[in-house]
Amino acid sequence: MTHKILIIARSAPYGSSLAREGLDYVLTSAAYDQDICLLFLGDGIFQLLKGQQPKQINLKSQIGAMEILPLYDIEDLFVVEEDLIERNIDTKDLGMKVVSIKRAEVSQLINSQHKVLSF
Amino acid sequence: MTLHLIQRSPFSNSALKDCLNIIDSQDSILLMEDGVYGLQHSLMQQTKLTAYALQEDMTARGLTSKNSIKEIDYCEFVNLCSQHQHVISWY
Repeated sequence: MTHKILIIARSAPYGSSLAREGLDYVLTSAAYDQDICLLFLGDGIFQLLKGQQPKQINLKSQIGAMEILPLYDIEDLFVVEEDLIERNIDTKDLGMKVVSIKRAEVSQLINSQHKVLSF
Repeated sequence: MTLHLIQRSPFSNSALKDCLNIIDSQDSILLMEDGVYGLQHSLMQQTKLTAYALQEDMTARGLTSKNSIKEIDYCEFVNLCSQHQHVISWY
């Protein structure tokens, strides 16, 4: 059975393994035909920044790994507009095509899902 | 209707703040683990939301409830989870 699953990504990419684990979960679920969308909230937005070069700290690029998402039919990527502004980030600084939503719209997104997980 | 589990101290982690930014007025908050330190934080003292704190975690840390935040035990925690459509952990 296909479930609508929302993954809330709220960790910055390299300070902990959470961002990577979240992406692993997303790709695994998508392989099992689940209907996945992602919401980048708070510091999770930093996962989407263009030009990440973590080779220097011996880690794999988070944004590089996310480029595979469209191949898994995962195209619904949301970011919270106020969190972008708070971090002085413009959508053109991001390496993926995203939809900006307001904080007030997040609960509506959550309510439209079968499952919600956060990383 | 969502139950939000706050599991980190708001003095060192943005979990509570991030949650309050997007929470709906129908949702509930449960402070647990180090999240119970939220009892000491102005963010929780001002809130009009339905809020709970896990009594075991409060007692362990020497905290007492100061306002409208209701103390619950693990059995009531299970009930709360079953009464909400979604349960989201903030850590």
